[in-house]
Order: sequence, then structure tokens, then C-alpha cells
Amino acid sequence: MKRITVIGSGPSGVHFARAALSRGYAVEMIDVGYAPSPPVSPDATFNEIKTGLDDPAGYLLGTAFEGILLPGEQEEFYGVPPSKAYAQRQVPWLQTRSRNFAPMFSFARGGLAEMWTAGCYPFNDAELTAYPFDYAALAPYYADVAGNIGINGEADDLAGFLPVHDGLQEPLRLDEHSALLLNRYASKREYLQQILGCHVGRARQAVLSRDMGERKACRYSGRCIWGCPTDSIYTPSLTLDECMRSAHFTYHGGYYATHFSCGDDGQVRAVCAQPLDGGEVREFPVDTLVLACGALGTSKLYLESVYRQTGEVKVLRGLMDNRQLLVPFLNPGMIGRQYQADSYQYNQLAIGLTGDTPEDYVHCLVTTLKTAMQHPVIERFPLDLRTGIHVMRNIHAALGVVNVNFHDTRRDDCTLTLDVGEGADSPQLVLDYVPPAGEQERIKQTVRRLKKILRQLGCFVPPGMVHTRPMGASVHYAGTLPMSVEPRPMTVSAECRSHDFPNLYIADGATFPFLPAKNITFTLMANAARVAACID
Amino acid sequence: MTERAELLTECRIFSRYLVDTDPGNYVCDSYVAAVRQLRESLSPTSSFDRLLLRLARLHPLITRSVDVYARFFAPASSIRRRLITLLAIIESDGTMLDRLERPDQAGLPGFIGGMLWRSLLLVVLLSIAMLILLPVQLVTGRPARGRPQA
Repeated sequence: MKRITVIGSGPSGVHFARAALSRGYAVEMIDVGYAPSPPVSPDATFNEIKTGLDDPAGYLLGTAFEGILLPGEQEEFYGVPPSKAYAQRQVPWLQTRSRNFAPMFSFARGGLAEMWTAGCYPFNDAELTAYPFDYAALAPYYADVAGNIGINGEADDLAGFLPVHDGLQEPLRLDEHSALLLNRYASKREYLQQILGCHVGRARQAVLSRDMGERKACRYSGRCIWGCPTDSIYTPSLTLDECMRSAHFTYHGGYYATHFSCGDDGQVRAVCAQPLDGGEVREFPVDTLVLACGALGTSKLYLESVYRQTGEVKVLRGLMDNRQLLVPFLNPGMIGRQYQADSYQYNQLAIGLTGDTPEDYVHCLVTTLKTAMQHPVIERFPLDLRTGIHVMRNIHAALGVVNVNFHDTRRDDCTLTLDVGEGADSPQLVLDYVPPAGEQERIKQTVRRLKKILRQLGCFVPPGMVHTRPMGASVHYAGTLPMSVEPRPMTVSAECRSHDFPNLYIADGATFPFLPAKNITFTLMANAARVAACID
Repeated sequence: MTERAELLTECRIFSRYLVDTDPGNYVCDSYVAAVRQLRESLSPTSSFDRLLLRLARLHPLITRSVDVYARFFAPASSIRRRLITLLAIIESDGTMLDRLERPDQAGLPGFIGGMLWRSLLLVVLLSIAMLILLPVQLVTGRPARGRPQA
């Protein structure tokens, strides 16, 4: 039986592994694999957690109170909840440096998507123009992944931007505020579409609206933000569990892969990995190697491998990430109502904004505020806290935020390289990102347009509250080892096989030649399954 | 007075200011634990910062005046940080749910009316606090921690 070694247990790694196992390969996975604590009181709702636990603050704020966002210490509206902090735990061997890019790495079992917001947005033909395949080639894999992880959504006004694939479950129950926004959109659809180029519809999420195997449908417990206690929200560790039930799957947890080594023929022979317990570096022999540790992790491993092999420090060009804006809004029609704790907590609606060309599409996610902690919001009001609490009580159900995503393109001045230093044990990853020309103007125009749209929906944006997230914050990294039909160095083929190392495949976002304005996780999974189907 | 007793008094006064009620044992114990755990972030960093905290501990009404002043002129001061810490603990405690989450029954007009009154009060308190505290802040220097006001 042919053996394939996969590095990384994120969405790309596990869906590659699952597809390869189904084709009869033996799969070994090398992974750091930090694991979460078991879920606390899985049957309790959000409010029952507050009333039922002996130490609710320990759960919601962390035992070291690290979940409290103190004034002056936090630029973002929200941080990572303590129950998901394991997904941000780092390893000592990865050092990075950048003056304009804030990278996020995860070494969790399941990768960064263990803390995702479950958005599943397939790329369409226009967004796949730079890819060496079209939507039709990817559609079977979208459907396969959807059938495996469970995605809800429907064919609505966003279908022109979000292709409708097989395997969609019916949408989740809408919360009252989202339903109100959708009704207002329905009454102004023509104006919004024709004058403002705005299309509103249901979000697509990897959340079960009906039972699937052992996983139960969403119970609307309101605990999404702290990690779904019943696995109704999909995370890649579920697919890893599925792989581990196969006799042909071997999981080497507790290892951080630093580089691979090659023979004289250029074939990858082994992967070198640091054990987390501090023992000797271990060499894993390799027949076929698949890098799936996220675009940045894969790039670091690739650069370090080349450096150790040849002494050359290469520069990978074309780093991409979605610029994101957060646009908070207030809906006066919801003032004085009780917010709904018993609802799905992440975005339930999406807004598609048309651009001059299909690639210019802007994707927005609309989240109405429910069980998220209140103190970071109250602190930002230009009021004393007592008045702020009074205001919050009355407008809590009326608040929401639009997360605006912009596309990105590969550009030569966005780079990754190594600083090997003198005598350093492990080279430092150096990132440099230069925003595209005209970005500021594009952001201004989009904010103006979005404000008009929100007014049409009966909402307004409080002055001074629009927040441009720093580069790196969207965590949709891509483009550093892109697919290329021509066999150029530091690129991969349409099947994601390296043009430099014949038995090396890259199954994550590093191979994406264009980054649409969408969450890429679903496409990462589908493309990884496609690569597994191509492998020989 | 021991540090714990001092923090418990502080917690009671701040709780009365924030939500009009004395805190339960759980909130008190959590607050003491949080201030100890986050000592570096919650301790005053200048003499003016220390003064704000001392004044705020005297009475809930003074806490309010100091808070409204700090919101605009010392937003990351120790007093603001401690109040936010207590607020975060209170919102985690199920026994306080109603005080933080139940909307008034007055509807939108009632909310707007209430806000007009509260805004007027805020302006008055801010003006008084500015008269007293601004000259002191200008003389003693700004708190070390700060960020642009909203």
C-alpha cells in the first residue's frame, strides 16, 4: 500500500487525508496537535452556564481573567475566548518578524479552523479565472465536503455569487434581528440591487440544521462563541477523529515539522520534526509528502528545507490576505427588545456587493449582537459606565456588526523569506505586506455605500466606529507557492504537485493564485480533496 | 485595613455605582482575585491615576463623576480598568442577569426621554469633574496609560 505523509491537521490536511484514505492510501500525519479541554456542561445553555457553574467567570473570562478586554490594551472589538486559547498556543521553534503584517498561527488539533466562524462560501468561475481549473471541476469536491461536514444555506439572492452545490442542509432558525433585516431587504430589494448593487441572503455555515451521524443539529444554546459543546458547528478535528478510526491512518501528534530533506535525485526522503517533549529531532521517512500546515506554515517549512538543502535563502512572493473592516450598526427598530440568547451566535446573513468586475465582489457578513460579552462594547461608549450599562440594556438587541471582506491579488512586493541569523538554531520567518494601490479609496467608497445600504435596512452606523482590521487578522493566508501551468520554480502544478520536488504536494492555501473576498476554508477543504483525487 | 478588606470595600462601592446593588460573595471574591491576578494592568501608574482611584473609592456618586471624567481624559486609567474588570465579572454572574440585560419597558420614546435626562446629568457631572480634576491633571501630569479619546 502506498504511503502518504501529511503535515498539519487543519482543514486542508484532514480533508486531504480523508480523501486519500478513501482511495486506499495509507496516510501518516505529523502534527503538533494541541487539544482543547473537554466541553463544560455540554447540555447547558449560555444563561444556564452563568447560573449553574460554580465559577462562571472562570469559564467566560478565563481563570487568569485573560478574557477581560481592558481599556487601552485591545484594538479589536473582541479577543479569543479563553476556551479557545489552546488554538493560539505557539511552539518555541517558530519565530516571526514583520512591520506590517500580524500573522496568526495555530498548532491546535484541527488548526486555525478550530476557532472559525464556520462560513462556507464556494468560489465561482469569475473568482477561479486565475486557477488552472473552473468551478465545474471543483463542484464535486464542494459537494463531497459539504456532505461530510454539514453545511446549511439556501439558493437565494446570493446564489449569483455563491454557487449552489449539492449537500446543503436547510438554513438555521433566524434570530429576530436578522429576520427583521431580511424582511426590510425584501421590501427594498429592487432599489438595493439596482442602485446600490447590494444582494442580501442567508449565510452559509458549517453548522448542522439536522442531525448527521453522531452529531446533533444546532440546539441554539447560545454558546457558539465559546466553542459549540455538541459539535453542531463543524471543526476539522471531527474529520481527524474520523480518519483516526481508519486502520490505515497513523497520527504522530506532538511533533513540529521544521523541514524536509531530499536525496540527490531531488526526491523528498524524510521530514525532520521537533518533539514537543524536548527529545531528539525525529526523522520520518517519506514516500510522498503533502504540506498542509497553512500557507504561512507551509511556506516556512518550504523555505527552511531549501535553505538547509542548498544554503540559499529564497524569497516567496505573492502573499495574500483579505483586508477586513468591521462596521458596527444600530437598528432603532430593535431598541427596547430583549436580545435572543437562544439563537445561533455568528453571522446569519451575508451581503454581496457587486464591483466593476466580478473579481471586485465584496463579501460582507452580518452578525447581530447576542451573547458576546458586553463589557468591550460598553467601554467604547462615550459615556460613564453606569449610563453605558443603561444604554446597553436597551440597545443590546439592536446592535450588529458587518464584517466586510475585500479580495486580494498576488503582488511581488508581498513576500516571505527567512532571516537565518548567525548561529540561530531556527531561522526566523520574515513577512512583508504592501497593500494594493488605491486600497484606502476603495475602503472609503465601500464604507459610504454600506452606510447607504444600512440606512435602507433601517439602521445607521454610529460615528467613528468603523474599524479597519490589521493585515493578517482575517487569517485567510494564500498565494506564496501558487498553482502554475508553466513549471516555474517555487510553484505547483494544477494538481498541486511541486515543480521543484517531484514527490511533494502542497494542499493548502499557499497554492491559491487569487484570493476572493470570501472565507477560504471551504475551498481549502474541497481543493485538498481534489488534490488527493489527483495524486498518483 | 488589609488589602483584601480594601478591595472588598472598593468592590462594594463600584458595584453600587454600576448596578445599584451590593455584590454577592462570588463577585467580591472574583474581583479580589482579578485585581491580584491583573495587578500590573490594574495598578495606578501615576500620582494622578492614584488620586482618581482614591476619590472613586469614597462614594458611588463620586465614582460616577470620576468615571465620566476618566472616560474622556484618562480612558485607560486604573479606575476605568478596575470598573471594567468588575463589570466583566458581574456580567458573568447569573444572579446579576436582570440588572444588566433586562430592557426598560418604556419603548423607544421612553428610552430617548431617559437618555436626554441622563445626558444632561452626564454633562453636569463632567463639568464639575473637569473644574476640579482637569487643573490637577495638568499640574501632576497625565496618567502613563492612555489612548486617544473617542
